[in-house]
Amino acid sequence: MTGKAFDHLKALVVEDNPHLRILLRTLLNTLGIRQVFEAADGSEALPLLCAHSPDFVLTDLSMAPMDGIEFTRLVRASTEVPNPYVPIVMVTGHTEQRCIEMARDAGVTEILAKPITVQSLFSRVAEIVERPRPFVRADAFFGPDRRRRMRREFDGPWRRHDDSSDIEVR
Amino acid sequence: MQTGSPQGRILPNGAQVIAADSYPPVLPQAEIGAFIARLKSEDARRSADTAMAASRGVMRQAVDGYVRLLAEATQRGDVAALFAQAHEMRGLAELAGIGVAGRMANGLCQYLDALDGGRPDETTVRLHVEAIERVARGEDHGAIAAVVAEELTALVIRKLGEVRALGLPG
Repeated sequence: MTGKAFDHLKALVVEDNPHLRILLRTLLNTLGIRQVFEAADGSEALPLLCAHSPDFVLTDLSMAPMDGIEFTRLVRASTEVPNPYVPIVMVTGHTEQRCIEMARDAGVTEILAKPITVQSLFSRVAEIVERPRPFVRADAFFGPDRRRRMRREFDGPWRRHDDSSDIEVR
Repeated sequence: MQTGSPQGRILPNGAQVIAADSYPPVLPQAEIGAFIARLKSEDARRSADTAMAASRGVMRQAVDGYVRLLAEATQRGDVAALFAQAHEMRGLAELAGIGVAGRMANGLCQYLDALDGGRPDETTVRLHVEAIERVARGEDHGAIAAVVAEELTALVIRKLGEVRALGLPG
């Protein structure tokens, strides 16, 4: 591989399928990311997260004993993890709407639908690097702002008291 | 250790909005440009494509294993195992070079998911599993496999409509 290595950049891959885990690690290596930690489920991933404080996480949804939703909730809620704001990309074949909403409500930053492609993976990585999102801490939620964009043509009711002030228009 | 506790703007409903620049970034600002350039480079894309191609044989072996398990689960009438194997297949088949089998597996997953634990229509399941087996054995490919996949998609759409309309499986 040629090109600049981002030696200090650390990623954590949480995936129960070993073939896919290796592929994800290899694809991250092609970006110059050399420090890629691997876990087969959320319970294996948490100690790695605490020990190495990765800069971002790629996690599957369906895993046992701890799935990606529970893992994400624990990361966001924990006082033990070094960086509860760490971007979490959920890599999942579960593209049903309720699964996406569960992931979002758990505090996932981005969704990457399987089957993965080079383009889809790289675009999610670019997104979390280039456009970090504000976080919201509320009684029942801590995670990236669930509102991704404001539509200029939106004519429905405003549901936040100060909707006009803080949302980036893209 | 928790990384600080950035102060954010408090919304009238009590929720706190924490700006993206007040928690640790994935990369320092000075390195983002170089990283994104690397990510968008021909070299990175070529390396990633090579890695994907190199993984194809291993992915194919894995998918063949899932096809066997899918058939066994069908014979046992084990719906949970059926979903699990179809779910693995939809994530990996494209990477194994038989994306059309992945689309068939995805349709089967959507159907089983909509049943929410109910018993599936045996014919619908059998048609999917046999079609997937034929693709995996190389008996169906190209335009024929694509037409079969389209027909199966139409069948799933009809079945999902029945599930929604009647609130009943199959």
